[in-house]
Amino acid sequence: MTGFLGPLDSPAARRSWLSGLRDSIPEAASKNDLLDQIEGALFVPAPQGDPATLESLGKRYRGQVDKAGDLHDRVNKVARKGLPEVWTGKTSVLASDGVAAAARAATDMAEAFDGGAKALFALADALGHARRQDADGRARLEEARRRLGPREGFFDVVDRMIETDEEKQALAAARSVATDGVDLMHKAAVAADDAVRAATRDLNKWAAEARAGKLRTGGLSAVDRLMLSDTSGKAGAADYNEILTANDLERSGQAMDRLPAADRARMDHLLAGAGSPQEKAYLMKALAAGHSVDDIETFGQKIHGKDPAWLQQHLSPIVTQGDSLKDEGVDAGSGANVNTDLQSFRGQQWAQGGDGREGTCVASSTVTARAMVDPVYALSLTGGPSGQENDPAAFRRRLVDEQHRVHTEGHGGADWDGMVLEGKTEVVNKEISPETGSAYELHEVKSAEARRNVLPEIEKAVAEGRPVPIGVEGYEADGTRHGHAMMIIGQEGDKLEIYNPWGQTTWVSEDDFVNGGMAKASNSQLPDAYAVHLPQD
Amino acid sequence: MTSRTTRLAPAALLALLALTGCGTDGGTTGAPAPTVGGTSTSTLRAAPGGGGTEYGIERRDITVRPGERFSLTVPSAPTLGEHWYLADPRPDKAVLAFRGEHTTGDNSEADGSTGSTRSFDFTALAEGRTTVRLLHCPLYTCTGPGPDDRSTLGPSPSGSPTPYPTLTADPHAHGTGAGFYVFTITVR
Repeated sequence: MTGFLGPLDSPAARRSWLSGLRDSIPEAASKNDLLDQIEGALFVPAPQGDPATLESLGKRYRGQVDKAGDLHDRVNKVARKGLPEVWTGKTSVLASDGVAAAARAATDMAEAFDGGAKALFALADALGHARRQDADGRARLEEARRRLGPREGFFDVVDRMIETDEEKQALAAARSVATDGVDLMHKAAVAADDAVRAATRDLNKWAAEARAGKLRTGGLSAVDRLMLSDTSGKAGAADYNEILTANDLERSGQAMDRLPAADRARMDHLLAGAGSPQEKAYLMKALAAGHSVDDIETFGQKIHGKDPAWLQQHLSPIVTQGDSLKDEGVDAGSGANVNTDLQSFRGQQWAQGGDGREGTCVASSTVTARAMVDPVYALSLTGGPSGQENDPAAFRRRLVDEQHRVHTEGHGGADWDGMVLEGKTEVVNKEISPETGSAYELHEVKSAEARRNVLPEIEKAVAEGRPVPIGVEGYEADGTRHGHAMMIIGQEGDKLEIYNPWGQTTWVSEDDFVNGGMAKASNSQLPDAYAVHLPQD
Repeated sequence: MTSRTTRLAPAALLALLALTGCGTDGGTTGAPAPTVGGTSTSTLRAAPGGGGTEYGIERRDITVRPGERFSLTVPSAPTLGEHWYLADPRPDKAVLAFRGEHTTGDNSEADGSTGSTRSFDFTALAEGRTTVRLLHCPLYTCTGPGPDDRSTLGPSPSGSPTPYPTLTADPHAHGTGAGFYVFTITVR
């Protein structure tokens, strides 16, 4: 049940309210004005949440870490004993691969419990400190109110049109105490808001990382689920390149359960005959993207027996490198991150117009995002109609044709030049939503506060594997506007991974996203995020 | 993996280019009527804000009067990841004063709009002739140090002292690489 939220019930609302009073109390011109504002500050509830409860929950999580560690050790012992070449599970998993996946899952479980415990401890500490700081601030505001005495009535004000020096000094002293008080309350509200956001982000991330549990289907054995959730692409860091996202695992499990018996049997047969865990994972990803078993059979024939490197090259447009999070600074001239990875198919980048020369950033980021979530679509671009092609020039022609199709679908400008937000909303809903199962809703985020408020939803979406379209803009001194479209595709800690349809990826921080630092993903003429399309659950 | 894209290495820049700063020096006032050399006026227009006449890339031979303020205006869209630089050798300081550079957009609300321009602003000082070399670096060209560092390549087999050719094509045309757009300015 959703309860009614009062205007000051959220940490963000308290932060915003107190921010206004922090600016206005030092300017209070009269006793009554100051009293009004003090009461306005005291009206704000203290930061909510019980640090002791949070700490207790954190301890319970921490207690599970050792158990998961023990499990990992026991599974590892089994793995070291030299397993025979036996196959298990409904989809024919090599027993040794299954045991190795179980060991990694146990490690992931330990990390998730540890990460969750840390997030809860940090939230408990921050809330405890914020509540004490808030109480200090309230005490000072109460003192200021006491010093000011009772409110003046209308006739008091008329009688004393001229303030004495003593009255002026008393007002100034009370104002000073009240300023200190509201400043403390505001700091407490900011700290509480930031702590809640960080905890939400981290807990959402750890929940998304609990991957095997997302694949809820009665038709697959535990070892099948483990293997599917554990499989990554060949290149790049395994943790950043898992083939099935949390959303894929959930959707493919649901799709499996909905299949008629005959289709279910065909799907089981396809999975059992797959040549590698990666091949199997891509078949499940195709199911998650909404394809029929007929389509998946055709797709399966095209990719059957291909090695993991071929599969990743043709079916996963974006590869995230292990060192991509390393901060190598920004280019002094352009303001862009030095550490940027080009994303290409055999040397041909996933770039707008093929070489960056067309203004189809909206269509191009949409096409790449769709290819990220749908391997059947990705193969149609990279491998052509047969699915067997390796020619980068042919890929470029197909990619640009597809960008043009989507640009036209979104009523983009003539000569492949620009698209407005209405068109963007249309194309992301037509092209990406069917594959992820989530409709996109436009949120304009032209202030730092608005951007801060949407961060948790962005982070949850991308942690689960649903890309978030983002618009960035910048203004010249004469008011000239430049606008560009990119895609948020990953999250790690307080960093967001950005795909720029120039054919590259890089990471920016939450602070960059909130406070006009998006130049790091493009250039200094495009610093501000101004719109995001958020997937709706 | 790190790739360095679209940006020139500082050391290479020092050797090859002189990057221009934004803004103007404001050192010259008054703008006599523009003098149009040649026959075509398709690329000539009055610069906004009284900055003098603008010349586009289609005209490479331009005649101006002493004291005249003018701009060389090239198609340049930040959304395409391209860059333009005023390159060495700089124009003869006795003939032209460089006032700065600025970007003008097309006031589009669309993301990805490519209608903006970059203007390099000059004032003609005295009679004479000089050249202005503008280096255009489309996305992923003019890369920095490393195996793909075109800015530090030696002379090409043709004997050219620079790794970049002189271009006449539309800078936004597919397949057009990095290159110089060279303008000859006659002041008389």
